Amino acid sequence: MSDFPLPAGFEELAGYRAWGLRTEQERSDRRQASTVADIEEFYRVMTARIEEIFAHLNALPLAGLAPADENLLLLTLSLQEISTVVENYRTVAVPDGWDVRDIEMNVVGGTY
Amino acid sequence: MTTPTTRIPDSSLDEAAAIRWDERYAHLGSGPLPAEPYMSAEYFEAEKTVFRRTWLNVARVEELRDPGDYVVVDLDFLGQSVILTRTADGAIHAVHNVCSHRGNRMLCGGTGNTRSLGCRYHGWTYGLDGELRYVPDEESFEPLDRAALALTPVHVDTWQGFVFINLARTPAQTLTEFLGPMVDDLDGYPFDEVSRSSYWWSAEIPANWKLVRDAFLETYHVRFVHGRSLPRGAWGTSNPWAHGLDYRLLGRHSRYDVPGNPEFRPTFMAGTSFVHSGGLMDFELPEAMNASKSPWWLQDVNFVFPNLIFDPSQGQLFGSYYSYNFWPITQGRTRFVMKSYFPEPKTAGQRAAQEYGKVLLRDTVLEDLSLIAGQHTAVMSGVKTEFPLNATEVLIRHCAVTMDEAIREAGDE
Repeated sequence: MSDFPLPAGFEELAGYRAWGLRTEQERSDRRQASTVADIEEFYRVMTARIEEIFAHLNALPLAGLAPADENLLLLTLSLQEISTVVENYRTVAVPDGWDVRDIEMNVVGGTY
Repeated sequence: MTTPTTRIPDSSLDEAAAIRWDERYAHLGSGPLPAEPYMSAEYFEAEKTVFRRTWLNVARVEELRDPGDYVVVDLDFLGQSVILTRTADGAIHAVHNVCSHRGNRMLCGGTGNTRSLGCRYHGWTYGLDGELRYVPDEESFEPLDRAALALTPVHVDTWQGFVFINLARTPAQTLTEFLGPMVDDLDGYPFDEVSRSSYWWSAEIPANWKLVRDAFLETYHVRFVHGRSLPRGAWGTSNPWAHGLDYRLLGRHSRYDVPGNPEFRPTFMAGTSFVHSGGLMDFELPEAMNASKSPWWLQDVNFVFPNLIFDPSQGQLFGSYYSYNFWPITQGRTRFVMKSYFPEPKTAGQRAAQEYGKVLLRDTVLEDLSLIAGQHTAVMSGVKTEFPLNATEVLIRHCAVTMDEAIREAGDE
């Protein structure tokens, strides 16, 4: 587990390390390449602990995160990426939507 | 997820929804909108004469944060490319991307940071303000008039951090005159503070640029196109067809106010994220925003002629605001650029919460973009020659009227 450290108490989430992605592009790509069943499982596990996760992250300045804390943030960013799949669409892609893979993404001044 | 909806009628929403904005703005005319401007190559050529002489938003100052930062703005549909720079004194400059020696395109797109602007053809080098600095083997030329050989400047100015250029040799108006009432009305919105991080989505859409723009100038479609992404987001027992709360014509620009609805129930992650995003931002809205002072106001939508929209809120939709630029490529193709702006997150939790709003917004816009591409194909079939507009589509009529007017004005010059 040492290559994907997590804060004490959150170690069980290391099984979802593949969602520990630093950019929206990577998170979106992984969503598009996943099944709804895999996404639902990740959603279930993360939302079960979401208040603890936010309590932990809310206490930390965004700049200079320790690797374990940053990994927890990355997993939470991926939860957000897939939350609309579970809560709104029931499909990986937006139904009748423009293909997100044809969208170019860019960040100015932001992080992750 | 479907949950039974409790009916929560609201008389203030019913009253706002009953206003006939088309009658209030009867001077724009009535009757259907002609399809021809969306379809015609000739009309597109005429529009280019307008783009060549009007102020155009091409960046925000955050994209040119540090001295030496540059952004290349390619406006291929006009055959123009412009370099924006920031110099050490903090000023923003704009110059044509054309070397004074033999006309080469100096920079091939993109952004970066540099000490000088160099031409890769024969090594001519210019300062960030366009001044000619160095000519290799200068002795083999007749004596050069360096001042006359600076890069050709482009008129540039900023308003609230939005960078505008004007390609005319002598613009008919200053930027302040051009923006008119938009300037005073939004003083006080903390654009500087709330624009520090932005996330962009860009795509080339096979549709006329005005079809793309028009989709963001009305909320009539929200109930139908965004039923999954924004269930009961803008409509309910009261205001069932998502009428805007207020519509203003501001010269060639305009503004409308997007309604929320008391029956809206956020999804689990929407609700959780909103709580942890820090909620509403702590500043007083300028008087002009939420003009009707509705408790159900979500955001203003500002249209700046001819191709910019920006939608400031107080954090009702997680971020501060988003902006859209609709860049024509050809009559039937558009470069759509959307930028979503967020206040600087203080904690890792706030950053995680912001991501929800960002993803929901992106997914919602995907619903618009695919629809618009289909609409363009159908419009181009030529089956319909005109389109009836309802009272809440009045800003689309205003756009059509003002573009016709601007084309006539450009033709008179």
